[in-house]
Amino acid sequence: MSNNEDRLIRKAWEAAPPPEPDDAVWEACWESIRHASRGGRREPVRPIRWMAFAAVFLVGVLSGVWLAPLLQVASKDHPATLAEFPSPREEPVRIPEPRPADMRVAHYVSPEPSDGLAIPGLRNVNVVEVGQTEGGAPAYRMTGQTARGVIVVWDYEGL
Amino acid sequence: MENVAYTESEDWVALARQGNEGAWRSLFERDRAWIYRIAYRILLNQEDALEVTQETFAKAFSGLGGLTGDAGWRPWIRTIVVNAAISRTRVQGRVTRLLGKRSGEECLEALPGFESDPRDAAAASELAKAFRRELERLRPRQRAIAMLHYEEMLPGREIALTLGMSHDTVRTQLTRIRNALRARLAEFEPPGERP
Repeated sequence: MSNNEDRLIRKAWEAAPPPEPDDAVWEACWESIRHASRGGRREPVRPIRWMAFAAVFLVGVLSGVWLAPLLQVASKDHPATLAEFPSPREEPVRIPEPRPADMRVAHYVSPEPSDGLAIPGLRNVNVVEVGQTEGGAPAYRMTGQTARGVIVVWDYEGL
Repeated sequence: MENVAYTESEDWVALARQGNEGAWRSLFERDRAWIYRIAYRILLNQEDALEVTQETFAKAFSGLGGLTGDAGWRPWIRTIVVNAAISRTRVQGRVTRLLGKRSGEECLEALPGFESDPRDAAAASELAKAFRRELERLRPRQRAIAMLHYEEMLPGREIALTLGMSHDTVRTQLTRIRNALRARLAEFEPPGERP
């Protein structure tokens, strides 16, 4: 690197000085710095504040120690505390075997045996007579399939 | 604010450390143009440079506790401003990408020229514009190295300390910067001095 080359770069550097801000801008800048610097300076915490904090903390801890046995007695007297119920993890989850739904109703209008009954929400509805009940009434079984393929079986008595 | 005129800058730093606003003001008035110029050279944008100047002085006055004497003041505040400006370029880059505008593009037209001779003025203005475009091509850290070398006249070791780099990295970067600037500015060199 020759001095000439360096000189040219320095010359270019001098030829492009930064724009100079005016006094009002500097004044605003100073005010902002003053404010920020004052805000950033933390006053040392006075001992009285530490003592007040320690007193409040101590009162809190002592209250807790004093109230804990009282709360424990109160919770034992209560008939249904959480401890009486098994937690979900204590018993294994039982998954029921898949089986067709069995719906029994007390009052109904019994459809006669037929194919292609229109029941909302079911398809392939079929009603067949499956015998007689102990009382001598005809017993029917209606089967159908939900949109998701679950087979619904409904046993009922004829009127 | 206390309107006290301090003559010795060592007093200013010592008093500023005690939270004396008069000393803060004296330090600010003495060094604001210098700090602003460093920030501007890295950011190439007046608004950002002013914000970084402000941030630098606020940080400096809040953290004066660890400083002993005026000898440490200048390198210390220079390190603050350089690093604050480099950090700002990351935000600047994101904003520029969002706005789809090159940083400081509009400032190219406002570059000052020389008024003595119109031909000299035009040549200097062209040189300044070419130089600025070349500075924009450099990465912020490279601009900082160039500024510390060409304007602050710092030796490589001190540049490395300011930027937290190794001396070898600074030397390598400086060679690259020099070659890049040299290639772009060659046409502005007087014919007799061309290699």
